[in-house]
Amino acid sequence: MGVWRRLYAPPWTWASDAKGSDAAGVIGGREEAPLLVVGLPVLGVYGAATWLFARGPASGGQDASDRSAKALRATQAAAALHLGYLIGLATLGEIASYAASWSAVAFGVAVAALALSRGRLASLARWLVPTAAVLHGIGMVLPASRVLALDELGGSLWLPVHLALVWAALSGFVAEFCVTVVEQIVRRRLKAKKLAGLGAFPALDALARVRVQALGFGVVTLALGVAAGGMWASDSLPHGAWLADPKVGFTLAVWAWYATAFFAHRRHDGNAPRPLVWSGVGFAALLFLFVGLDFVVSGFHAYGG
Amino acid sequence: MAAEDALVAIGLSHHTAPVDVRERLALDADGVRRELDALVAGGVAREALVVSTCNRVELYAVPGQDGVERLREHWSVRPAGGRRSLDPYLYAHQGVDAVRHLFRVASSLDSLVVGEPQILGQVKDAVKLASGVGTLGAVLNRLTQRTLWVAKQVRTRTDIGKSTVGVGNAGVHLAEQLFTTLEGRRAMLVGTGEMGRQVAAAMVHAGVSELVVANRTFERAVELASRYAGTPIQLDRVPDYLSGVDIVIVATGASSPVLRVPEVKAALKARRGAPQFLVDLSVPRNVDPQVDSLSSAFLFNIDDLRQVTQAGMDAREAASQVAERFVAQEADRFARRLAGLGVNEHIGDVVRIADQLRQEEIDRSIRVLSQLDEDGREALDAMTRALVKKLLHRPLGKVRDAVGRGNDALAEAILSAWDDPEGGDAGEDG
Repeated sequence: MGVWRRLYAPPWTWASDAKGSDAAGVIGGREEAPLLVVGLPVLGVYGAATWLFARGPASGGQDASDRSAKALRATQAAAALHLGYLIGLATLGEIASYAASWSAVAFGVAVAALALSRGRLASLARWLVPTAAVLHGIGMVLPASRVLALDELGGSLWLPVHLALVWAALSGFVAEFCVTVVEQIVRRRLKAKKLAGLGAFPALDALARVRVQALGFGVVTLALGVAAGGMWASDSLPHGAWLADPKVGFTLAVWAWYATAFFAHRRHDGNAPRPLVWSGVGFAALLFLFVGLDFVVSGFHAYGG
Repeated sequence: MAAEDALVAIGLSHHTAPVDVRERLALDADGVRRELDALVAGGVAREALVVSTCNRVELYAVPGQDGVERLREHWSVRPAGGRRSLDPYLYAHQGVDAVRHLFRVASSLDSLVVGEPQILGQVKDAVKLASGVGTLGAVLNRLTQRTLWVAKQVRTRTDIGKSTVGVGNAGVHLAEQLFTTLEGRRAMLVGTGEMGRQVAAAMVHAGVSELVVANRTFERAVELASRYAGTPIQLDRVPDYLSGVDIVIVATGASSPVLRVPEVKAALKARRGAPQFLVDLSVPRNVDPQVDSLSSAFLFNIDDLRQVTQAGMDAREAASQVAERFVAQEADRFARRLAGLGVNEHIGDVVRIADQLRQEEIDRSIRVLSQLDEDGREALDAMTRALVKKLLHRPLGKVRDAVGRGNDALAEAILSAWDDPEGGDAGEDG
């Protein structure tokens, strides 16, 4: 393994890769150095934005608003770099890898932070940007395992559509969970009459509206993503294999949960009871789908085998 | 030459004079125009600006030949009411203190409610008036432009105008934690106590679209509702209207709760979980505190509102300290520029005196050197001009440097060399 390659791949994959094994799934035979060069600065800029957001509201005044404006500009820069990183992965490396998936979801969350950066909603970036940094950081250190069956199954134009939609959906659900947490913080502080500094948060009705929007976005894009995955499977997999895949089955269950939550919230204009339960259970299921199921259960398109 | 001579501020404000004195002196726009005209036309001031609001009447002026005392006399002869003289209520600032005072006034640091935004508009209006009358000259033009800039910087660089003061605004501030905007929201005022009125008025001002007013004495409800184009109801009909309003302000003198858990619970059910903001301003409390345990009900009492206003006042205090430092710094900077402006006039006077002396000497010499032709005269003229210029170049350069470093005494000392030994300064001599 060359020096550049070692720099990109996490240390614990070096040994297996040095033996020439592809089991660790590190991008084979391509130059990864540019990806590291872009990936680490992305993390650095997200970190700088996080630091500026954290310092922003404390002092108030022009300095605080300058720092928030700088933090937003840093987020824009990080998102632009991040896009370059993902394009680099798609062209030079392996976009359908486990590590790339985490990073892609992080990018979606950063885009959500930028999309919401107006008025008091802009303070949501204080929560979304660190989340994006953590997700991207995880993507940088995880083994770059890839969906094992892909090489055998050959390419299909539906695959990038499936990936993009599923990542967008996951980003929507992660953003929805963050907004729900912020909403609960505001709600509890109002109930506890801890009123100092509350002006730095969006109003409850705005948080409920954004939460339902993010939920709806996730539900629709995940439905389309699963459908696009089905199209890919019909091109590439044996008949019936797609629905027999446990990952697909569990994804549909997660989708059903979120869809139920979405319609419950819509019915109550965003004021359905126990939003944290709806969101927390969905997020836990999502984590299991992405962390547990991918490595515990075998299937056609699990990252772990 | 010093800034102290160039500018003076004389006036009275809520800090020094009671309202009955202030109202006697207050001027409307026409009054201000007449005053400005009288000051400049009468030679009391060379430049003048009058700021007249309900809390202050102030004159900013570049004094005329008779100086500051004449300006003070001009104002203090006005009656303060009865046999009182205006003198005890007047304050006067000169030079950098006058600059700082105007900066503080426009930045709302000298206001009754520090941070209130109206004063800046009032100063702008005063500047427009003076500009229209033509009483702003080189000094006041620069000062007023700088003042507006400083005031704007204070508002944008500090939180002086952002924090919440006053019970009414505190109510709005809390409601805006639930609702992004109050526009289109419906509110209900239960009881017509003073604080309830204040909060309701602030809510309407913030955009509440409809106000329902409930009161035990129906006539008072009708009277208050008519003021805001609202709906008056009897007190016992409150539960019927409860589900239709987003904001409930309770301020009655009742000794037992007017709103209890079952009524609010029923209203929230009808609202399908939509949050409701309730403020109980009564002592003893008129909304059962248990209402706050309902997940969609957010109940606040008078102590919570005080918490908001106190935090607002603390924030303004902190912001005003930052603003004071900025204003003082800018005032010093402007005063130095003002001194530079004054010194330029003096330097001009010196140059004129020197040129006049040169011309007198040439005229005297021409009589002796009558054989000089036109070319010879021109050469003599050019040579003497160059000589005067070179002789003045170094000392006047030192004067400018001294003013730039704030060393007015040195500048004065150098320029005094050209003072008329008979009295008066160089300019008047020239």
